[in-house]
Amino acid sequence: MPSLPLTQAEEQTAFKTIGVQSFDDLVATIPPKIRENASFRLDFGAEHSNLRTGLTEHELRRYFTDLANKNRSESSTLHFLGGGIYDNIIPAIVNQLALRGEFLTCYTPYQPEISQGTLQAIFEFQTLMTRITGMPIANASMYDGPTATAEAALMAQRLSSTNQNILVAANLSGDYRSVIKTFLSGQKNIIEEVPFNSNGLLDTDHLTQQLQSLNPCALIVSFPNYFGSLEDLAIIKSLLPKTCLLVVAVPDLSTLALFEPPGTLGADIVTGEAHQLGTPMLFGGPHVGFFASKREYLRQMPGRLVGETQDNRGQRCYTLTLSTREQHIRRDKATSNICTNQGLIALRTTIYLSFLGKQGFQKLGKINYSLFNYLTEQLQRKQIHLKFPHDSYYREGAFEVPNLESRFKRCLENNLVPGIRLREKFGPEFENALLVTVNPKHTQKDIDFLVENLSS
Amino acid sequence: MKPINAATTGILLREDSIFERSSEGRAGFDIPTPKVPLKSPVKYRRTQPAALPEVSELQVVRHFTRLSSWNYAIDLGTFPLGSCTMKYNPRINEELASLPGFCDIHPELPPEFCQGALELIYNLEDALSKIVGLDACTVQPAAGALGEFTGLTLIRAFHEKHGSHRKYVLIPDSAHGTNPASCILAGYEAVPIKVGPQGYMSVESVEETIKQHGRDIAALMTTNPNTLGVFEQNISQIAELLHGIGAQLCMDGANMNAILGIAKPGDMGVDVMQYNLHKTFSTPHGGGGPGSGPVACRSHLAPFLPNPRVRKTENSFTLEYLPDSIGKVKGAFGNFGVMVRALAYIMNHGSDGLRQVSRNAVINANYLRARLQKKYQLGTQTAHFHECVLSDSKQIQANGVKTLQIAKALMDYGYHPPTVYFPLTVSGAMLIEPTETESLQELDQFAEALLEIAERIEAKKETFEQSPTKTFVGKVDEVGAARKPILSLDDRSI
Repeated sequence: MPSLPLTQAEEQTAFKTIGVQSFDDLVATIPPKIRENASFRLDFGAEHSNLRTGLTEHELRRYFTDLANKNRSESSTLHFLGGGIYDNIIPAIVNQLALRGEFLTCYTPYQPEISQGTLQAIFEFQTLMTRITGMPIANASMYDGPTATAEAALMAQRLSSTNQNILVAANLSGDYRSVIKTFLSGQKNIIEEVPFNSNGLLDTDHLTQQLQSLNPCALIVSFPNYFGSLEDLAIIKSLLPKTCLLVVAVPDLSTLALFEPPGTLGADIVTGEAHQLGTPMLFGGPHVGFFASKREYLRQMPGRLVGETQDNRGQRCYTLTLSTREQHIRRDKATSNICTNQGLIALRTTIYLSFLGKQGFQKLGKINYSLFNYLTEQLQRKQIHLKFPHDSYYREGAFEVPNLESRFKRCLENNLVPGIRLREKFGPEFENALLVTVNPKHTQKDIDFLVENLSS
Repeated sequence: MKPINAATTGILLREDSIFERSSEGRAGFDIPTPKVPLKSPVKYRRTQPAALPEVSELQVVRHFTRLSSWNYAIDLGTFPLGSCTMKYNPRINEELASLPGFCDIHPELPPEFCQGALELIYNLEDALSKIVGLDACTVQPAAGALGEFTGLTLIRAFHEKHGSHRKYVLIPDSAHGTNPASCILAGYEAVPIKVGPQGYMSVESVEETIKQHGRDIAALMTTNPNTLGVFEQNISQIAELLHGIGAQLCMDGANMNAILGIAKPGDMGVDVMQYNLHKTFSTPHGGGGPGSGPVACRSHLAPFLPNPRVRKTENSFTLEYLPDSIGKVKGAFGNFGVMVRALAYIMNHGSDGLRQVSRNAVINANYLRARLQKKYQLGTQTAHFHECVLSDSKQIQANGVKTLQIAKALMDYGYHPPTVYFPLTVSGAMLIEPTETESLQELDQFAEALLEIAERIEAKKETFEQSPTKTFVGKVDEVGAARKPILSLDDRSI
């Protein structure tokens, strides 16, 4: 096996040096009953049943290519899917650079003298995240948008000495809400959803009541919400008492290319997802969450932080810092149990955003916005309207499609996935609701094809 | 053999931050402009564009290539980080994980459009269950720590389903820091169990704690082999004790690389455990992730696994939502790209090959231990598996040189240091895990480096206070970084 260099002769040399007769002597502390039963059987279909000797590289390539071909990828099937995970055009250099062995096969930069590459890249990632979100500080990355947002709820609880309840917008993505609930399931505190109104936007009247009855330490809102519309963060903020932090989840960081960042609208913590900026959809992961907040919350922040410092030669350099918050030092008193994060995906985001640049980032937002605008106009001509008609959409929206069931089916037959059906996520009132999302790969023709298939 | 690949000097180029290469108005990557009317929003429009760099393609390429050259990596040399399993990552895995059929698929595709992905998840969960002798598995958790939390949450859901509200999780004091932290997140209090000088838990210490807390104990969480690289030889008796009071045995599978095909946690009485795919099944660590932390469990915990579950029917793969599920622990299905690499690795080795992996990992670690114990104090005399732990006591005695200096000195020999000051139960610990992918020649050179350092300390020639000296930057002022944190470029001016 090419990855196992030890030859049989070397094994004997090793045994001699160690002072044992055989391998069994090395594992003699395992009770015999356990050792005797240790074999297992691996089955991968009829062709590879009871796989004992591994496949060669070429056989693997064949098996996995067959498997991959059972999926309808973007290159073969037009799709209008989003809802927190987005398709995008990725420049060639992102893969080329991120696949360099020095980035790919290094470890968490605990030893700063031999990890400056990773450390400086993370420092640049942190800088990008603060500038885009409009927040003063950001960490080195989280697993993804949902887990980052759940960590924000936990941080709000740590920052509050008394009230521990949490309010979550019901129009936040189901994945986000479910992960938040699971993360908080070990507590006795109340996690309540704030309903949305007939416009699909956060019901501020209801919110006012819930703020009084629950005295929460945080409200988590989505910007934009799952139906694609942008909430009025300034108004929401104005309703919150000082004791309730405003956590803004941004499931698509590219939103902030075009729209006012939550940092200037009163957010206390901003979390979300940045994979769409340089990393493919990958069936949902690995992606990269970001976590930004006000500076005064620094000591309660979860995850890793990179800071600038100097070496003993007086040179500027970087290091992991404030690690006394973390599990390897604080154990059960740590701010989070997070250890591994998303270093490589954060690197991809940093490379992508650097190359896209200030103008490119604005253009990305503008193209998404314009494509969606065109899509909405064309669908409206065919009597397919936004379920919540108003003027604050970015790149996706929920449409009421008459006879959705049969039209959806026909789209699939024509090798087109027109969007995400919302019935299962939001109930019978969404029977005919379809979340349609555009991305920069789409052309005018693609949209026309969708409109044609959805409307007749 | 002398340590021949000691670090030397070469051309390494300095590089400021990418923002400092920026020039107003310079265009970067171009996105195609669609043939639709271009519009901008009126409501909530951003007035101040985010200050991203404005650089050319070549500037980006040079910037990140220069940065990469300042990193140490497995591709450059031995990476003996204990408890991290820094093994070689076969490159075919990268090729397979980047197939368009895996990369360019959205998790909301109708199941009939992503049968290959569902099949892959199903097969991987099946293989991961069988390797450890358990009944079911979820690949949703994004990393080991999230897997630990998932396992403990399954246990809580199980107890609560049976009307039992328990308070404590027992954790040996040699455990990784994520264990107690995960415990708190899952709503439990961590109760430490003292590990004796022999390096593993005694039946008596667990018995005593059970006497004290009884049925308030939800579970015991242990790594096996533990963080000293020692097998918990009383594990079966401990499992029996726990099961006797309705408590569960939860295993941190961070060290699975030691026992593939050699011992199955299911046979030790383990009820639930998490894997670290990025350790045992070779996804590159990428400077700290992404990883993946699947959880395998016995059938009584399976009804609580995160939703959705992938099921195999006669001729297709479908999704099922369990009514008693703990909910989601991560968006979508988990870190799918890591799963592709893990399954490729498993199929590349087969069951015999995986056993060979652990066998060689154990031989390599013991070989290093045998060579190094001539000059270094062992952390424990008990047999080590895939890693060995040394202490700095002899070096402190000889010339007051501590583990930190030894670690930094190793860099000048061209190596990444071992894990230092962990586990906490050994003073000045150096935890060394060579992994199975290092050859005997590499191990000899690494051993020579550590032995030479010890000899120089003994001869009072060096204290290595100023080490490292050959690295791109010198000794880093970590204390200064925390004093007045500069966490982004814009903090420099504050």
